[in-house]
Amino acid sequence: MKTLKYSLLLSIAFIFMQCSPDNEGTHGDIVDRNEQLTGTWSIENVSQIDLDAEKKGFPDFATRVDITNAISGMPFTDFTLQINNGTLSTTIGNSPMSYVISEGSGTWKWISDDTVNLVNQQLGINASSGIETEINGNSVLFLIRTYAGITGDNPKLSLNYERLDASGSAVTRYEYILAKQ
Amino acid sequence: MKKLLLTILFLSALLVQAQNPVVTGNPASYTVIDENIEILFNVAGATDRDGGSLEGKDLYIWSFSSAGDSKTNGDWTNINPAARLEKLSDTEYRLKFPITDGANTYRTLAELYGAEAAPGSITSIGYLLRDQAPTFQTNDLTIPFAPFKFIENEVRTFPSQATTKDVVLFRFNKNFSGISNPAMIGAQNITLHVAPDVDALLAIEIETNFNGQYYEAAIIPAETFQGLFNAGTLSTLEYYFFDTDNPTIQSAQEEIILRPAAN
Repeated sequence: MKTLKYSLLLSIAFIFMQCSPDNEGTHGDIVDRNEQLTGTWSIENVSQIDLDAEKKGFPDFATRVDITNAISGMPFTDFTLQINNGTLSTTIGNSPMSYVISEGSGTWKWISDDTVNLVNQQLGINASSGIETEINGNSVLFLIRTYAGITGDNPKLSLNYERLDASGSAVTRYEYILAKQ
Repeated sequence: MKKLLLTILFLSALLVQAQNPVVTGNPASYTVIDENIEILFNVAGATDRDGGSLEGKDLYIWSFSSAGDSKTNGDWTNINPAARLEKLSDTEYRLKFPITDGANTYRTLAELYGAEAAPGSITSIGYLLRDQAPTFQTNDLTIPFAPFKFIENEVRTFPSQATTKDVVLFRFNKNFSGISNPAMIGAQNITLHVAPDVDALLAIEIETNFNGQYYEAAIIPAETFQGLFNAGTLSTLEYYFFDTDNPTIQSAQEEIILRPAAN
């Protein structure tokens, strides 16, 4: 009887030993957002959102406008953003982006716990995540509301920027879609 | 037969007596983001759902909206004192904004229902009146309010509110039903005229593009009126549109007040 008990215990211990994590498969690999952001990105499309109209639930035509080429001689598509690991550089060209970010080289960092909260990243729960850039002492906050499209043959980066008034209230939101070069 | 008639008469009398409070506003029309509004309940002749008179009673409001319940509801068996209506007379009661509830203050209906970030999500507001216990309550009733409504205009800007550093799109709607100058309808080419109110000599004129619905042109005020922007005096822009081929034919004039930008 004793022998049987020991055998059973040994068997159970053996079964549990077989339950170690499987590190060989590719399913569930950790997403490296740093790597996904790395590259040269050019603005493809810009939408402007009237936040007051959005709050009031006005129809789409009164809430959002495509302004990519709205200003004569100042296409947003002139803007290029090169992102490396922790550093970045911008080319403004004739685009209106000079009213958002400085031209030149600088640094960037995550503004949420994305780098550590890998589970959330995999699930796409990054609603408030984004990056903070700093060029020549000027810091700018870009929100990333979706990572959809950042992978694949034609990667797209979606950056949002909110314009605040002097009281700190957000007045407008700009949604930039950048294509990887 | 007599008994039946009497019963019908009695029931009819009860139905006639059952009356809901009359809700009015001060001002008469208000939206869910208007501050300092008053909602008045006239309970003259009004009854609870069992037919008991509401007149002169100590009344509390229990309310709910499509966006969420009132933050002053508390528990059904332990209603929040902040939900007590102010008794102006035996028949007039008042819910007055701002509502103070301990450390919290609700300035608008949107704040009361926790929908200040998306007030457009409030599409209906319901309420009932009751006493503190409650030993009585009315049926579920409705508080009316004015919905947000986008008002089309002959000329306007997008966005409706902007800072000096925003892209501002000026739009002329040739198909607007109440167009101020019908001669503009025949214009083939349309130009935008924009001038800062502090210096009309700095006015600019830009040929518009037709996007299928609007004739439009955009600027960044800080770029276009850089001198005023740098001096910190860029604020109000006046604008109108005119027939490029006959500049005396003009649209209505409007203005946009720009806010200083913090970023």
